[in-house]
Amino acid sequence: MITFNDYLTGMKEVGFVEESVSSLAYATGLPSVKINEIVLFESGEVGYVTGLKPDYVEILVFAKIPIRLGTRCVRTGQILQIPVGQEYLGKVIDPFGNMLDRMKTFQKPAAYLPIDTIPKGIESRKKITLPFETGVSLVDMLVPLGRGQRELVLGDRKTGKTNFLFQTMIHQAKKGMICIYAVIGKKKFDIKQAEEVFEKAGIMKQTIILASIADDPLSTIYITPFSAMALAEHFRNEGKDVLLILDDLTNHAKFYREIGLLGKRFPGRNAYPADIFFTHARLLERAGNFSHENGEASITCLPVVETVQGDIAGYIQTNIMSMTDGHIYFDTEMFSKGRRPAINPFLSVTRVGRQTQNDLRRSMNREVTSFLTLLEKMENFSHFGAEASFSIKDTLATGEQVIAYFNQTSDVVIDPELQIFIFTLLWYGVWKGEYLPDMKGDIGKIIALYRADPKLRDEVKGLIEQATSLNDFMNILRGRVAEIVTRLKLEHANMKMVSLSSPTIAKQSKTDQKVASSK
Amino acid sequence: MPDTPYSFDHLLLHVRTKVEADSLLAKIDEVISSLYQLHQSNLSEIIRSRLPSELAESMFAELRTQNLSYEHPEELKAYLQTLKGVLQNMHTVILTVSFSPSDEGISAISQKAKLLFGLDTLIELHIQESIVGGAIIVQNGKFHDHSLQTKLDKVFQTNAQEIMSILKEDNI
Repeated sequence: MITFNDYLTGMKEVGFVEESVSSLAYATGLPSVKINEIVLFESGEVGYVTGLKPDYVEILVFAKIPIRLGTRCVRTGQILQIPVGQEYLGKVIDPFGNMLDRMKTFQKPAAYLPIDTIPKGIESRKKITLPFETGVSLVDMLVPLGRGQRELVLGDRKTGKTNFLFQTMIHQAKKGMICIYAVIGKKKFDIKQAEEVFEKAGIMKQTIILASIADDPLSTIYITPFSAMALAEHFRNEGKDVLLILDDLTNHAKFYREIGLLGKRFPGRNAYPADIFFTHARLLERAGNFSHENGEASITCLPVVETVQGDIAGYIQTNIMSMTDGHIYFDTEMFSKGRRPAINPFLSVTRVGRQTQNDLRRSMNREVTSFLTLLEKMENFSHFGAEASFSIKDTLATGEQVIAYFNQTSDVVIDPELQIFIFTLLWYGVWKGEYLPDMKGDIGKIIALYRADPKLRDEVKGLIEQATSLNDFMNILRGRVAEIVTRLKLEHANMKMVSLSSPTIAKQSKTDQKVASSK
Repeated sequence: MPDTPYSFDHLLLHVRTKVEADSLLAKIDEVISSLYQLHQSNLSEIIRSRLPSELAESMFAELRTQNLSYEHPEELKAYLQTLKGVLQNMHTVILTVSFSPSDEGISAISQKAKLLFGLDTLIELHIQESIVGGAIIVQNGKFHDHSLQTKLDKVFQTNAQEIMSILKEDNI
């Protein structure tokens, strides 16, 4: 083990702490020290250089108690690194790669990666072509994501953001993706809760929880997302696809603001340091889809940002919106209406996901988006108490069913193929006029059957592969609905209504009539 | 050294160690506080009684050169404040030795340090018997370990087996 004196005689430079505030220490001396270099104090604490001034060096110390004045410090010639490797899968670790529960024994990996690196350039990146499914129908159908995309998840507290992230992790981990969940300055309870959810879902062996708690030093909390990204980069370098969740960056920004203010940096907007944008952009730019000797390897990053009273125009919120490839907005209003997940599809954006969709998915996306827009208009119109025509009533009824379908509890994850299949049945009118709980019961049955029966899975996939658009798929199903209903033992399916009254078909037939009459 | 209208070179030659500089700073504070309390005739006596004779003489010489009289305590105060600033900003060379050097020894070390690093250099002496001999010097963050302890450690590390066998043979 290298000691303080070894570094002292080796590096031949020494510094003396002249001022110490919380996690920051200011030392004179160390004439050749570099930014980001690790500094060792004679009291055993470690810090790293965050600023170089003409008279002193600013050091961010990883200690809860401020360093005593006059303490000597030495350079180590090393930059901050984290051990990386497979050994961490299934573990809950701190940003230095130690087990969070110190009572557990563990063999640390031998490989190390720097936590703060320059993001890879455009030459090593590849176009995002593969879809990234979340298992949440609303997102996969309306705000689709791609592998390597950086999608911001934002919303007020207690609107179901974390539940959505857990659903996504469970879905992806079961498909073999490495999932890293970075918890930034939260309660120990939150970490334990996440661990329990992953263990219950059986995905812990594919998952790493990298966490800092609110009680940790500012410096430890600050480096948490960077450490998590370094860990993700390790798996990326091995050619694996990684999902990285940063929960959450508003917290990170607040802790960084604290460091900035303690360090007497000039406060910018909302008192955040002037380089807060740079800090987050440098972090998120490290995610993406990269070329690898085996093809492609991606880091899909889902940073979380909390809003206050639905204000998505806040400083940190807009900053991160501008550096990600879209955002999923969790709306308090929708949450209070009982929508689960409470995602507002009209305020959510995906800049990359659509390019990964096939023709059928794109067609469904278009259809559903335009229908939901129409539904919103109709709902607003019906609020005025105007007498609703048959078509309006029909649209509202279908809308209710569509929304009920999109209501998905946090313990349910639906495969993308099954999403298409169920939605097409619904769109076709299989449950037309039925009570919503009955329809949900039937959908639950389909999900259970699909999971249990591999033959059904193959059949559904085979049917979907034949279609290139929603209408196309409906035509494929048209002759087989009775068979499907019997096969899936759907108690509440309305076979009489089948193929006659879906809103699209009704609309089309009206258009056809108009065209015919004009001719 | 900061740019000042006064010259402190002669005066700084007499300030050798950090302890001396701190003591001088305290005495300058006493003189400053006396400026408005005493009769002008007594001020030179006060300076003489408070400061070491060489320093006091250097100060009087500088006061004469600058045409500063006791009739203008503000000018005198400005001079003393500048001197304080210069003393506070002097560079320190930390010297760790195994024994307490004599007064002549300190003067010789100080002269050498001022010659090497500039007139505004002070010596901060630390006595640490465990280093056996030689010195550890820290100047401007650079660490130079020329102690006998380190040299012996190195010799022991490289020739440990040889030394141990000699010690065994001699039954030490």
